[in-house]
Amino acid sequence: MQDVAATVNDFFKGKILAVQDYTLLSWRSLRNLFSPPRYLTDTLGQMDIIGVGSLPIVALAGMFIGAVLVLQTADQFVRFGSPALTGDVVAIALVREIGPVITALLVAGRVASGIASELGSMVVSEQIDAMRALGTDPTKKLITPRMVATVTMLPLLTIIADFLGLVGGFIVSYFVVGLNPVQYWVRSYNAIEFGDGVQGITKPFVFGFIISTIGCHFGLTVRGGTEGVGRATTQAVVVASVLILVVNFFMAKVLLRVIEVMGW
Amino acid sequence: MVAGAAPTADAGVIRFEDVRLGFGDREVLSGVSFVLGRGETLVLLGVTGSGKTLILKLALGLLRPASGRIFLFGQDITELEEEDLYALRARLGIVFQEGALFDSLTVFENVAFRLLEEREHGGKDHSDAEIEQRVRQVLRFVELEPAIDKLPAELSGGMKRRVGIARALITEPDAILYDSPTGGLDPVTSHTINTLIIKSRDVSHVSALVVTHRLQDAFTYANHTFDADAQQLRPARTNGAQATRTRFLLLRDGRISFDGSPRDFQAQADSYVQRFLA
Repeated sequence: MQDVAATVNDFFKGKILAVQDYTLLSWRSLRNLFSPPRYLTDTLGQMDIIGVGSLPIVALAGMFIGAVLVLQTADQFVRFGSPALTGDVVAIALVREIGPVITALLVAGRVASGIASELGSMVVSEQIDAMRALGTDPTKKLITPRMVATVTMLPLLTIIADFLGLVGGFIVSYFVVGLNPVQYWVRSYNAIEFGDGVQGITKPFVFGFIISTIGCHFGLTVRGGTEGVGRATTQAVVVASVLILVVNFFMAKVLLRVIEVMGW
Repeated sequence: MVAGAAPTADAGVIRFEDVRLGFGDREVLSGVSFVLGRGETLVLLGVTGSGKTLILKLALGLLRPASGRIFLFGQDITELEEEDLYALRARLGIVFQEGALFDSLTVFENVAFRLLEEREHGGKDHSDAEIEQRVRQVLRFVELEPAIDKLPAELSGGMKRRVGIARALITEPDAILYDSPTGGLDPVTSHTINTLIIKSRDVSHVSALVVTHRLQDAFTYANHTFDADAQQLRPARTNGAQATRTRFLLLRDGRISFDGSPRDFQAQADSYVQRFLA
């Protein structure tokens, strides 16, 4: 019985310590923004890897999600005699929810895993220790550039995914469903209000922070050699994805209230 | 002395005072105390898993002890902030067990890492020509200049250690810490690495803390000097260990169970030491 209690105790202690480590790492990544040295070249390099590198999958996914949204919804609207509403629904769904969330999940799969495996490999081969021993702060050289790059690139990728989603929706609505193209674009454009844009563009900043810091946290806390690197990579993707979905709900709740209060 | 206090005059390079460290319920170091003096070579012996590497990491401030105090160049680093440690670490070089080279950087970039960082972010005015000249100089020292543009993946284990030594030497540190520098290497390559360690001691007059479980390497450091004219090792003429200022430490059960000259080490009647010598 005592063994079980000790195991449970150790389990919760471990989880609390992990949360503490993650909080400290997140705090350092932000604090580093205000204290030199700043690694601009490393940040630009990460922007290229994270932003430009993720562009093909985000573009492709965005386009097909928009396409399938139209395919599934247009039929229903036609049945109710309002096919013109297809553009409204697709635009709002993409900009408010599907664009930010799907883009974040795709980038989490690609970037959180990449960061965790890269930093994890550096940990097990003592490169992180070597960097510290050589007088360079790994949180400044490795973590903050990745955090800044992900936080700045994810909103841009989301905007691209939203736009290409509308393009994908247009292609299906025109060539498959046979809707009026002008009507689709005009209604899509008019359906999106300022508040929708606020929701759609605020979320990726937070999601980008989650993806990068979770990837860094699991990478830097790798234990157990190459097997540990594999485990950390998987955990980084799973935890980042779940956090994105949970945080998305609470952000939606808060943002809807803010938009209502502000009258956007 | 309080954390971060001013250094004392004759404090030596590294001083451990009753240092303890454990993981979970297991105490690995149970009160380690020793001093590495200036110009000395300290060979830290011990079986695999005895905590030798931990001592190096503690000396660099990469790990914090559970209790006890650690002094670097006379300054108490036990509770020093990471940012404040960088200046002290700049006076130390370390050669990791597997080299720990940055695998995405070339040999040149690895060796020049500290200089490039100092130039970009440390306010030092190293020109490109100066950096290249210094990198080539230390690569010549370890006889690896032709590999300057290679990536670590293209190097053998011995070459990686030599690049690691070059990286440690680039800023002309006061002391170098070696973590099992010949571990896993063949006898010929091991001899090359040992020659470089003795060469850096005798030519550059660098203090050294060498962690190893290979007694033959320890006696090589104690009984040989580097002949700069012949570019090879020679047996020290009289009382090798005294001439080379080499001391042995034996780490056993988390404590330093022996601290003295190689001759005294050989004379130990203790069965554990005898098994080590066998």
